[in-house]
Amino acid sequence: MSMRDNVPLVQTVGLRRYFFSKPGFLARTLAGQRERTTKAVDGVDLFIHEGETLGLVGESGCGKSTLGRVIVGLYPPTAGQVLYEGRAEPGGQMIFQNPYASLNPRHTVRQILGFCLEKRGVPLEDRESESVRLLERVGLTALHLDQYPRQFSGGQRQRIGVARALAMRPRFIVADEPVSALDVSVQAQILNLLEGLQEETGVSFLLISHDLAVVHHMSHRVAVMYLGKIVETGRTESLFENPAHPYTQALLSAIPRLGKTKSARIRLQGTVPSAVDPPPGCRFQTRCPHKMDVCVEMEPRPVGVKGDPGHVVWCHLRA
Amino acid sequence: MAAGNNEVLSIQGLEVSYQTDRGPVRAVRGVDLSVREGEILGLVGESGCGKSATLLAVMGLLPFPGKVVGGNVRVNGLDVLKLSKKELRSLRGSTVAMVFQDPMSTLNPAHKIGAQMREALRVHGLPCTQDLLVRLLQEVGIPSPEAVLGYYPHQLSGGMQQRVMIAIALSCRPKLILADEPTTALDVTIEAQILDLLRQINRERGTAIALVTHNLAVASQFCHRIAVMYAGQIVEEGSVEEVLANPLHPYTQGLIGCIPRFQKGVPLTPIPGQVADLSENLEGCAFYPRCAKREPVCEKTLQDLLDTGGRLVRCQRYGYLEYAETAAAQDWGNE
Repeated sequence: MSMRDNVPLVQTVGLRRYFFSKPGFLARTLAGQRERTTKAVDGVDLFIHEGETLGLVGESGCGKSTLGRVIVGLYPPTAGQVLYEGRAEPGGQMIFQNPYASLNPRHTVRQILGFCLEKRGVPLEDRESESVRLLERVGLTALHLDQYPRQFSGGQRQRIGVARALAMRPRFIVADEPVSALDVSVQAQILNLLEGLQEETGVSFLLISHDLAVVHHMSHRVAVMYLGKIVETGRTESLFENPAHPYTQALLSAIPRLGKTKSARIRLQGTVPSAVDPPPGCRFQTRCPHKMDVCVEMEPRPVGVKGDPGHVVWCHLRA
Repeated sequence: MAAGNNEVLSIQGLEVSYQTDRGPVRAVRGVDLSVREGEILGLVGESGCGKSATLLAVMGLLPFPGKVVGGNVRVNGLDVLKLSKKELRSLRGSTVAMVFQDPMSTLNPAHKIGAQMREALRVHGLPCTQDLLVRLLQEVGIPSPEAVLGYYPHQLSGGMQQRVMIAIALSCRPKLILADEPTTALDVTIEAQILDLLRQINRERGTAIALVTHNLAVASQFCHRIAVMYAGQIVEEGSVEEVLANPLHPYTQGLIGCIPRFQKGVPLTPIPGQVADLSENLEGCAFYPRCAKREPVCEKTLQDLLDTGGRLVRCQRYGYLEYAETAAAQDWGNE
């Protein structure tokens, strides 16, 4: 890992992404439904250095995939900014969760990669050799060039997804649940592939995953997201060993760990509230075992964890 | 509750085959398995290893073109494969109940929760008073159960839907619950809640549970005994502590090496290659092409399950293999 300078490769500033849904005529007049605003990402500041992997964890519906998509520019932000390589525009490549849905079934591998290489401005005569080089980099061969996605297994498809992302020579890749659709034995192959790429090329990753074991293994730093907001961030070791936010603590204690006997677990009651109408004050107050009056009244401000630079928590308990 | 001696489920030589255009796919190739009263058995393996097909065969629910082509299955002493459709219907739900992976697609979206719960009781000729339904929902930890009875499934979260499924499964007091990846579709905090609930049911009522999961960590937390399946066969079986601390089969060893272990700097060691293709005729050990410890003899000859004193293992090389001091072994040692 190299962190050559202090300017992050990717940075988000007050990033928000809302989804507005307008019910149809009948739903409005008969069922009395109103316009709804889903606050999927609601004010996120984070940064990723060169050669670094930031793990983004959280339960389904917390906005982590939306955040990833806004950062690479698949969704425009509602407010705030993405800074990539110092410029105020999104960038980077993406590896998707579902290798069955993210590759066009009617295109051969040659076409899938060729399209990206064309975008990058690689001349026609060089595209084949460059495609082969990419395939070999992800553990496939030139023989796979004229095959269709259906002819590959899930793990091989995900390798093609990685090759496609690499075709643009990105310095930053958002990997959105890159292994959760794969079998355990194949998961490890893909994780090792991503790690190897980082060592070789110094590419940075935003690794979005609900699997905390995968995030722990891959990430230098971790950010925990809950209902559109980051609640805690820090170096992987310190966050896993010394979680400061009650949500992080509950999340970590809920992980089933191989071989470890059940420790005293913190059990969260209920489920995640809707992002359409998030609770006032701290987003986590409806499920928090340490809820105080102040938690309902105002949003927590970021607080540094003592003796641990870079470990920041958004919680009134720590203020 | 400790496991009794009565076998609630006993499977012998089960063979399941799917007839496809390209010939038969032998999804389950001779599985012997038993679950005793009060026991939680985990059936673990990767997708396509036959773990779900084994459970579905017990319930007589194999989807077309799947068929049981050999072996026998006894539930509470009854030979399931010889039962008529009517007898099978009365067995399902009352003696043995099933909880599926995706509660959203197993609950009927067009009927209210109350109606779906009543149906299960009515089919088995049991009374279905409002009080009873409320109590069943309370038992699985659903808040304001009276209101929930009038809800449609989409008004509940995934975790709550799964609780309703468990309430329905419990409504006729089954002796055995078959759970097919019951928490895979759920978030980790909700998964922990559902596993706690199932564990509590097992402890308080002595209900036996057969859990199918691809997640070794879940199995290690939840099960008393586990059976590891690969390519339609059991390759290793034993108490959960022994199998995970000292895996005997190279496949089990490989699986454990694939899982990130919350220890920095421990590299993952993937199993090379792909899961075996069951439409091909497998002569020798199905794991042979991927095995790190293979010998020429493994390619052509299939090993029976060896009993090594409570531990079962299907490997020619057993006795020659050593499982190094691994992270897994150390984890168990720490306790």
